[in-house]
Amino acid sequence: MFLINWFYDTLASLGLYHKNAKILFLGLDNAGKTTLLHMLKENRVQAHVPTLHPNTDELIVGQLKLKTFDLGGHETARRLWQDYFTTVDGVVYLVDAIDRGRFPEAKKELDALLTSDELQDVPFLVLGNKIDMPSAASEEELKYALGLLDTYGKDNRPDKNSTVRPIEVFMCSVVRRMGYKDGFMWLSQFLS
Amino acid sequence: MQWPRPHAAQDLGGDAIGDLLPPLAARLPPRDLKLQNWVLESDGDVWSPLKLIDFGLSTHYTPGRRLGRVVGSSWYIAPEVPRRELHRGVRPVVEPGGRSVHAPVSGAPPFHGNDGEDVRAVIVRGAYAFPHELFLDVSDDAMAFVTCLLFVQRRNSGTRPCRPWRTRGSRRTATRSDSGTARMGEHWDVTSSEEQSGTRLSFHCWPSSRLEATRCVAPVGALYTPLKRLPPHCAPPVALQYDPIRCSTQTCHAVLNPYCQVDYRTKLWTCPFCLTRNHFPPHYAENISEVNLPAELVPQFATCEYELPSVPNAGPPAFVFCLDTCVHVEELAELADSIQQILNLLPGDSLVGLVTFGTNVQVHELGFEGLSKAYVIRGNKEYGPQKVGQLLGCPGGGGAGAGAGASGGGGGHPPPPAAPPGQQQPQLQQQANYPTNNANGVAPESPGQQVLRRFLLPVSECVMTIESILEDLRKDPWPVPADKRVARCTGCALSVATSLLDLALPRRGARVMMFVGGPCTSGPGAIVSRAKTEDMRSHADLARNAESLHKPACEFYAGLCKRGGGGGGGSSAQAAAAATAGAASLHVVDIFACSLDQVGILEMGELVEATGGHMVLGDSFGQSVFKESLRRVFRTYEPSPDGSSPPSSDDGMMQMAFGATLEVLTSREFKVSGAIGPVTSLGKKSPNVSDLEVGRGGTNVWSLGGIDPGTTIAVYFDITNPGPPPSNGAGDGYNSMVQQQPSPVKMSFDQEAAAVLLARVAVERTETEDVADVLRWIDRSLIRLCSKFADYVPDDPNSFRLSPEFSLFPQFLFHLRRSQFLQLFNSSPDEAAYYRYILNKENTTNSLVMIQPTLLSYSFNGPPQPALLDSQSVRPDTILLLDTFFHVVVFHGETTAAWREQRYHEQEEHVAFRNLLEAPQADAQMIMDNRFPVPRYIVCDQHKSEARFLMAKLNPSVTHNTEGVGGAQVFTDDVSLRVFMEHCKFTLHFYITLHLISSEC
Repeated sequence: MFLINWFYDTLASLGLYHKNAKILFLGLDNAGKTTLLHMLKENRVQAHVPTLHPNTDELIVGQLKLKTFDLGGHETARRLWQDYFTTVDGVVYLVDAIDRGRFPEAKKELDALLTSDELQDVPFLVLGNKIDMPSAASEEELKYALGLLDTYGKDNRPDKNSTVRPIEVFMCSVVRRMGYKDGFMWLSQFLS
Repeated sequence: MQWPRPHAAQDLGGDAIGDLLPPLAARLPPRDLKLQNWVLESDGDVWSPLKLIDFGLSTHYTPGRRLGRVVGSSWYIAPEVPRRELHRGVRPVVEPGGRSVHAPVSGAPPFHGNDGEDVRAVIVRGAYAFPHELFLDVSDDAMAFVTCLLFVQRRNSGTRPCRPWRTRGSRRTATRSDSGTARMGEHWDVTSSEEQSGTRLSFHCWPSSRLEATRCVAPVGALYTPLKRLPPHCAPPVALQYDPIRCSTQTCHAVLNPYCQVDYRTKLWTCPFCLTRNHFPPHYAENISEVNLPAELVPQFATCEYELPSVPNAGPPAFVFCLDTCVHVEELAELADSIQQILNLLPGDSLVGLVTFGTNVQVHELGFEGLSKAYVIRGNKEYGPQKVGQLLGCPGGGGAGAGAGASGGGGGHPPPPAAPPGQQQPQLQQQANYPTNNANGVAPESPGQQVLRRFLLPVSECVMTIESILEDLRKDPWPVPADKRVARCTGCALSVATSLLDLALPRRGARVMMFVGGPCTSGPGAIVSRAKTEDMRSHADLARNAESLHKPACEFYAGLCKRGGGGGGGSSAQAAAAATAGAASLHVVDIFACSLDQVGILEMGELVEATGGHMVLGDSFGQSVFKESLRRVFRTYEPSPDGSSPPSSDDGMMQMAFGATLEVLTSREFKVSGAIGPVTSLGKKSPNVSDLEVGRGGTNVWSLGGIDPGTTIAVYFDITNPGPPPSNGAGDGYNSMVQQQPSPVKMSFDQEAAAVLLARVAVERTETEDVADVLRWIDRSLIRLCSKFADYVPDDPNSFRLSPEFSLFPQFLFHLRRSQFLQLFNSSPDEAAYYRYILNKENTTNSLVMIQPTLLSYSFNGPPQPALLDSQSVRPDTILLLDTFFHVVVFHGETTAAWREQRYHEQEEHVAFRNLLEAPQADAQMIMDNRFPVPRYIVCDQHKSEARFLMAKLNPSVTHNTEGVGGAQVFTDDVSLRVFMEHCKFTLHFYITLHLISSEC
């Protein structure tokens, strides 16, 4: 077993083999999920209409081959989220940092995800989007609003023996190509 | 009390029976209309006004409402009452009028029996013959009058004034461009041909040779809307009640039309297509002259509708509802509610069947009174018609297809009882239009007849049964583990439903209406496995051919339409015969998909397209997108409310037709390349079929299946003239226009039709090519078109100008490139298939709205203005109304939204603001009232989540990267129209320079 793992790790480090991971993009409507996915895929900003059906795409980020599911965020569409929880390796949860009025709603949906049995061991990357706008909330404000004052720590390495849940908040601006890269670097450590 | 003499009332005429009733009766119908309640105003004067008394049982009636209580005297009761049929309109009132007259004429009521029950039974059967002893002294006129009251309306045991479905008919439209020389320099009125014949052409003046046509770049084609309602001066006011006159040449078979040359002296007409001289039939030849033309030769009547006597009346249509029970409980309740509502919209004698499915398929027996009974069929297999017949306990007596011939009519009706022999008996049967069912004969019932007796019944007979089944409808009871999807056997249910129709009504128009709320996961046609570890197919999977279930599912659904379309009841020989006879599919499959995720529209699309069905995609069965669209399937033609057009024979008919075919004939200079739209090739290789195929090519005849007034087919032509055109410049005939100078070709360009024709080709190409290649092909086409038609000084890129006929074409293509038809990101395979299907089905105007949405701007500065689809049109103090065909968006600028939040519109002094808020909403409603599928209606504010419905469609002239003033920023790196056009000019400059160099070399 050790040998096989060593073999694949070597291939991966040479860029010849990608580890597969299934990632969900969740969050309220207008948080920027589809825009982020399009940015990761095409490195371009595009205006999109609100998502109706889930978008499935495949991305290669570093050594990871990600199968991403971008699900609609409006209220009725959230019913569908749980259908995609099976065999998920990570969740990217986007929050619109300028829409303070909807922070409670965002917290409620995030809490529901964090308490779901199926997502118990899944790492969560919370992205506070749209910080290019001057009115955007700060990281502290967002953490407070979402009830995430204690997070895993941006510089903490994954530890198999740790009982702390991997969840971390990063601030970003998708249209200015800022911040989300660090977030994905952090998340990728937890994708095995 | 004395009675009016019957012939006096007869003067009113059979159609004016309703006039017997006071106008009040429409709202307050006398529900106990009987002999005793008719009185003469003055005793003794038989010509004094006739009055109606006793409104004790009456009730206020609003059209559409159901009257529930059974009231009335049994002698005079309408058959609908004991049958417990729904009361619609004032119809039940009219017929008892007949019985009230019958009594004074003959001295006895027409239906009689020993007791109340007995009378009711006789009335329900509706059999009547004039007993000889009672009518000895009664005049023929009086008997005719009573017959007309009693029976004239009987034929429609539905309640509409005339037959509400099209049973037979054909339409021919001849199109020809006018002589180009006379109109040089003028603008062509390109929309008038759509108004007058339902046709739009990309060029009204056609290029003279193939080379010339290739240089024109834009496809040479026509968009034809066969069922478009035409203004009265463009078609005969009533359908012609005879078969069309056809050209005697077997290979041509063209129909007589106004473009035929007629020699009135020798009574000959020349077929414009094959130039054969034909004799008129004798009765034409006797009367025809320059001033006395038959309707089909009147020059304005480019379109003629025929009601063909040679085609038998097929009878009322059938509807099989297939309901998915694997949906949320609330969704199921909404769905059941919608189905109950549409049962009231159906004509009373249309047949209805009910299939529900989940893990298994349930076929509900509707002819079984008392308790509900359903046959359960395992959902993991495909079933052919014979097998379904066996499983439902309707085994075949005489082998396959035994029911085919016998079941042309509504066999579900009880046969009329043996009445005393009399002259009127056969006439009655004919009028009632129900063929007798060999019930007392010796032949055993065929499976089709058994299905008609038990599973497909007239809605008037089974409405109660269906309603009680729908009320008790439960979610699929099979347990679903957390890591599995529900078992949903959509494919199997479709095969059972089409089999039912194949067995019972192989020759009659019918719809299978599939209501589905999730993907098919079990049995044939499954698109994803039940294990949630497997994901639904994505564009990437499809591009790689990595999805193992996709291909088999497509083949399965496509196979269903071939089986149903042939209509051969399973017999291959019969099906082949039907195909060669030019049979169109009579059984239409509609898909109503209401789900947050994909359901397999991509796979089922071919089946829907081949049968000409409807497709509606929504989030939920509770949405108006679904509910109202479903109702509109059953819309009827209404007489124009303002009386602007005269009443038509279509009034009151349902807006649906079945089994349509389209045949295109051309004069010799042109050939047919193919058609794009909801069509299937019927594989007829006429001499005018081109080798160059576009869309469904290799034929000049297509099956359209079901069509509705909006169905529009794009037909593409190939110009076969290799060299210079023949000497007679303007040829006659279908679309025939030969012109030497290129200028009229340019002047006659219809950029809207051309954009739609090109869009259909582009969408067709995505099925076989990579989208990126299709986008490049569009760019190339645009460059080549500009190089041909733009005014341009070779060395000066800024001299580029397009004439008005072409000025909008580049921007149509710009928006087409950005549209959901060609951009697959943020659009699932199902969504893409859905949008493309609708684009291929709609008329030019609607297709153009889909390609380039329309925008209206409302402000205090005057009436609403059309605005550019551009981010600069977004202003804080305006309201925008966007119509993308699928969405109608009312968008409040930020200031307007803030005012509304402050509730200014509720204050008396700000009435102008209230009007400003209301105007776009009223206009949005008008847009939505006339559209199928009903668009999603969105009211939103600038900067809010739903504002993206608008922002994503705008030309991004101001983005987060520009320092623009005015308008709103769009977050995008996409190029704007201005940049796109700059690129065009630049490329064009290169293109032309290269051409100049190569030609000099």
